[in-house]
Amino acid sequence: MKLDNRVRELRARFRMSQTELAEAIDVSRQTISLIERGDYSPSVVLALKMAKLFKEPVEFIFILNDGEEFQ
Amino acid sequence: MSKGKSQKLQWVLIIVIGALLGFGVSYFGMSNSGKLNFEGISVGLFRLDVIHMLFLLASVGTWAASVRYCLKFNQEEDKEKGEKLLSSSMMLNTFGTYTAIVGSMTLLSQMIIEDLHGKPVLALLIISILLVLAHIRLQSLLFKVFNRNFPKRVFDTGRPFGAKQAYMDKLDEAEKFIVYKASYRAFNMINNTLYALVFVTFAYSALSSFQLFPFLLLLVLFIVNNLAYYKETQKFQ
Repeated sequence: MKLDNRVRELRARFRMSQTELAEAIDVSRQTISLIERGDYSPSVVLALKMAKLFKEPVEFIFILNDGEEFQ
Repeated sequence: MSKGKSQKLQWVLIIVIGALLGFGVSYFGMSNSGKLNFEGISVGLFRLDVIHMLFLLASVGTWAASVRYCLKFNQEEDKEKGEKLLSSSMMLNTFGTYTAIVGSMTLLSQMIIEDLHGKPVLALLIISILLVLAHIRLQSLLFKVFNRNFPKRVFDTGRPFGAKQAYMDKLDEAEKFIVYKASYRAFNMINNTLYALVFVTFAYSALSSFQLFPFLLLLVLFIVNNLAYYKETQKFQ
């Protein structure tokens, strides 16, 4: 089961670079890069920090992909 | 066959072929060493000075590349690209430090085994030692550059022990994940290499003059490596 995400899309909407987003939620740029690529599933704390920053629910940013089409 | 399995099989095949080839070539080389040996430090096949020269070249190359990346980092305005350049520079220099140390050790062992005292050999030894020092100096400068540019993740070079652990504690969750993943890969790679080397040294010892020490040494490393892994996993079960 894969975890898809809309981090890149939201970052573009907020006109933020990876570094700016990383600084805003107090992580490294590598962490943002790994999450965007789907290589790392963030902790609940980090997911909640992102949700707060983007003013979106966590389940809108992170989608559990069980084989169904991701929209 | 899945991609992962196929890749693993490829690695096993590469290691086995590499081990067989290395074993065959070195066995041939040792059995013909009388014909291939030359006086002094002249370049001869299967002599330690060739290995030493290769390490020396690799060391000079990595040092130069490391300096180049560091200079590029100073000129780079894009923070993300700069970070990659600096980490490449540090990794290359670490690798270069090890090659320089191994190069110096192989030359020193050759001097002891073959009782070499000539000026060219001494000059080479001095160059090798200077190269080790140049790598160490560059690494300390790189740490200073890193600490200046990334104040949140300062690496305390003043602490001889515990600096790595302290640095590890400063990493965030995904960075730790990278370290764990890389460590597991390194563990597997060392394990597979030790597997191959244990068999190769045993076969080599059996075919030439039987020497148990290299075989036992590798076996001990293999056991320690696996024990450390199982001990750590046992803690969390």
